[in-house]
Amino acid sequence: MIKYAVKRILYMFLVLFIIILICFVLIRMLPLPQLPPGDPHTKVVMMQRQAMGYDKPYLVQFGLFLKNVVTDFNWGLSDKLYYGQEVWSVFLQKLPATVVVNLYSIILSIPLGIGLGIFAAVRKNTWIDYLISTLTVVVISVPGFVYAFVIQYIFCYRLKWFPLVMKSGTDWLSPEMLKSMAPAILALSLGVIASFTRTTRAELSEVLTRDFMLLARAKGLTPVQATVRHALRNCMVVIVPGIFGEFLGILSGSFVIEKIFSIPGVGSLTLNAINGPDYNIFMLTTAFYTAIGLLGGLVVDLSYGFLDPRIRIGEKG
Amino acid sequence: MKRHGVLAVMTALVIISMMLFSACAGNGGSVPVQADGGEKEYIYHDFTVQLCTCWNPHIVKTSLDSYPLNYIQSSFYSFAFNDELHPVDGKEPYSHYVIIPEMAADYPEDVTDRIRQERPEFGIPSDAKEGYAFSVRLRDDLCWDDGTPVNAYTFEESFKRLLDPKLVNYRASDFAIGKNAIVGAYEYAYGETADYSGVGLYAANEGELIFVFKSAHSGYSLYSGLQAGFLVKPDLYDSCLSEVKTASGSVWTSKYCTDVSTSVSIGPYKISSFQTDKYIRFVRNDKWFGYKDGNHVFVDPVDHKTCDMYQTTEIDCQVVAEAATRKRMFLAGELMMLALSSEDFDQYRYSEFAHSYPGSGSYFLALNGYEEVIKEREASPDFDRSTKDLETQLLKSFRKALSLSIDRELFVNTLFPGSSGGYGLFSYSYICNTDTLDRYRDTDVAREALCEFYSVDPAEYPSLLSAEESITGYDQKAATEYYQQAFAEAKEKGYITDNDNDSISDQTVTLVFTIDADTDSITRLVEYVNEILRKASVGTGFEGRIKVEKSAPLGNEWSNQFMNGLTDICMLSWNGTIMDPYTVISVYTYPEYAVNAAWYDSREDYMELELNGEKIRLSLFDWTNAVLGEEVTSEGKTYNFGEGMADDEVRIRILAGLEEKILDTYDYIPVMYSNSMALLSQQAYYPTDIYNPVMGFGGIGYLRYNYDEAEWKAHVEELGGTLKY
Repeated sequence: MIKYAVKRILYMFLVLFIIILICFVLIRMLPLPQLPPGDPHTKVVMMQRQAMGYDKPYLVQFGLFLKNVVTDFNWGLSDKLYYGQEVWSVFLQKLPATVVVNLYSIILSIPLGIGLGIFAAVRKNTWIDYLISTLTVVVISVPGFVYAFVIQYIFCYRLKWFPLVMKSGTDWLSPEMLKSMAPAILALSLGVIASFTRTTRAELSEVLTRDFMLLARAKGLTPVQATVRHALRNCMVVIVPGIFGEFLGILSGSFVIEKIFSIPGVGSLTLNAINGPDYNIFMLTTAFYTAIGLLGGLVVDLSYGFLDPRIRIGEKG
Repeated sequence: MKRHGVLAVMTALVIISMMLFSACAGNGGSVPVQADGGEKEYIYHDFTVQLCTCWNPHIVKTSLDSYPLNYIQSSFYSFAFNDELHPVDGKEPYSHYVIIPEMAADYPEDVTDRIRQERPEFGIPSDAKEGYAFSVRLRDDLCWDDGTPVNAYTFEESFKRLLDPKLVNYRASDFAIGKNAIVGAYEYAYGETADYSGVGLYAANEGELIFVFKSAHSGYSLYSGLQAGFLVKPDLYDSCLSEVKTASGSVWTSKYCTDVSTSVSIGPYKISSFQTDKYIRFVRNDKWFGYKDGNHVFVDPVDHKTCDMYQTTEIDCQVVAEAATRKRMFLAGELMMLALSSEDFDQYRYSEFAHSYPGSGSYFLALNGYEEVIKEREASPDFDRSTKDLETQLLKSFRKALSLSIDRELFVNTLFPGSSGGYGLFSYSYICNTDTLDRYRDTDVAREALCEFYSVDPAEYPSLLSAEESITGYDQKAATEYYQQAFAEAKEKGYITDNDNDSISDQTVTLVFTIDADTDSITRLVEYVNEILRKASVGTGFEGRIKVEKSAPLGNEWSNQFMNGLTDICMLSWNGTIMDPYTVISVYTYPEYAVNAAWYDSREDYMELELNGEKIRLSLFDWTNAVLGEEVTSEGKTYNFGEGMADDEVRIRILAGLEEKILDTYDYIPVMYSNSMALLSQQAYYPTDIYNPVMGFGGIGYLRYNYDEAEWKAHVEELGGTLKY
């Protein structure tokens, strides 16, 4: 198991390295933003680009970039959006908003999604199951930003329960902040809730029909006890890894939601870096999302062994 | 243990996130609404699509980044409405402007003669007695918001840092190159000399600053040249500098003006809090001299009461990227202004709270005339010459027909409501006389130029004005004639064929419309252009044979593609300083600016004008130089028609002549003068409803409030939380 884990971690770094290399070279191959013809600042801009090393061979640039990252954790300077500022410090300022919104969303989504899934599975083939299943399909089919606008219109504009955009400030855990984030959290959560509901219902429906469930009832357990102690634990092998997957899904989904609710997070930073374009910021956010994705995959793989002792990772036959 | 597995994972996530918050929580913090000693609060709730990130005045590139500078900087001289306190002879109150000293103690003194003798190294022309060197005497109570005094040496030190070659400051060019170039600035900024003593901006003493320009200045151009925007707080500036390793060695970078702690104000407001990409907040800078100097007051034209400028106590600017969210916030009383989109236009255009802002932008459909490239494109194996044609667009008759196919007012009403039809190179915003604020478009010569270009005979109308007003740009009959003429010419030149003798071209003239991004508005525009060309060509040899199709989305490359003749039509606009149309003309005649430079040479295009009884023939390039103040020579004679060198009447004639000649290339078909409209919150009002080209409606300095913040919130709540406009 340990050998397998170490191997996976090494592979993870290799993949991360390759992706960063490809991104770096492709980005540097893009033509630099054009200056208007006759722009009086042309000379200054050309001097700045030379100083930033844009005239060096791509692999030399990459080598220096990598050296700076590995030795100093220096991701370079922003050359457009946050001119002259270190991109790592900009990134750190933006990270909390993204993490907190996503975390609240996960905290809301998991119990609700699993709960609704259990409810639908237990009431399988009743009108409740049909209703939940239908709503699940509808919610999964509609992109998150559509809910975002609907939620904003109904709850923020018409009913005035919440502010239209996230409040200013960095008091991330205050009740006022939570209230102002609620529409965004809800918009991010709906799809995740639906996803967990569907997965839980499907898994639980199958487990509930197994023979050991009959044995559990025959032992004298109540339906609730049998479901929670035996059926649900068996479903966790599928559900828990899904939590990591959904966390990643929410991170990427928050690109648009952050814009709609004025959340100063990494999602909007990435979008702006692409539109800017600001290559160093884009490199950092790309590395961030890639690392999170790889880490998520690693955790999911390793979690199988912990969740179900019958699964022995890395063993052949 | 396993029972609690899920719980443990979630708890770990919460703990990790809390650690991240504590590690990442940066500057700013939550800022409660201030309660300033019981005084009333007047908060200007502003928005931005993207927040400024660095407002270092030596670096700023965009209006987004320079946003805070509007509040934290002051100028040497500023503009004020002509009210009862600042009357202007012959002008109704609020119809004109006055220039008032701000950081300067009085008006600039021309010291050209003295400086020429004292400092010959500046190279002031030996015969120049005025216009090159000026002394600006400073107020003696200038200070930063922390109380640190500011004097002429602070300006000199700031200017040294602006030009410092190791810092490679973006804005150094503003003073090193161009109309407002300072003597010696270029040489110092680009490392040609390390000796600052050759730079023509220096402190004569604590209270006096000397500007030495490379070219002569007077009138309005002088005040636009005496800029103070380079002022920084030297010790803070230096502490923000750092050297960072790069692929090529190192670069100097600066954190100056990137957050509250690295910002300093000498303007009416100071930054109180800032959160990256979320908000910026300003409060009054009590150290600002303007609050007590007696200059910053005005008389309200309605109640004739004397009011202090800058009633606003706080400015809160938030990022609101989505237009729908902005509209909802405005209707909920949470924003001060709402720019009207085309969707909102019909609903709000007649609102009493709507303000119209005439723009300086003239929009054109620019046409490709790069013959060599067009022929190369036709020779490509992918191009089917039996069904498609590109060359016909080179014919002037075809271009004229295109121009005459477009009813400009209908065009803008359909696609860009709020703007107005465009007919010339200059919109109605441009001022040709800064003393009188006369608009160039209202002059007889400008009207005659348009009538001439659109073949309208003023003799057939009661006045020149009515002749100009009759122009729509659209003339179906003339368009048909030109299409037929183009058909005959294209056939004769072999561009198109008519093998079936049906008097209709066998080829479809296919024009590629240049787009940067494939948006709905671009699609609507292209479809509309296709529609009007289809209608206008009915009954001609090009009936059903003209097609405009979108290029691939070209991003930032779009202009290069068009300028290299690889696409055929693009919609473009030039904006310029509305007080200086003469500089704007250079974007059409200077090869480094002109989009048609690859196929049009203004040095080879001549114009003859009779000025003061003398016939003068110069190329359009030389006419432009002459009107911008450079000496040009023709047939052994030297001419200079720059500001102060020639009568306004003469200069306007040259401008109108240049406009007509450039329009006659048919490389630019004017279609629109851009305007914008915005709703102002019921919370506040401007003292005038009439847009002033220099002052606008007065900006934040003149904004008056109907309700303070508490009253406004109560009022909105009373109305159910949603306002009607």
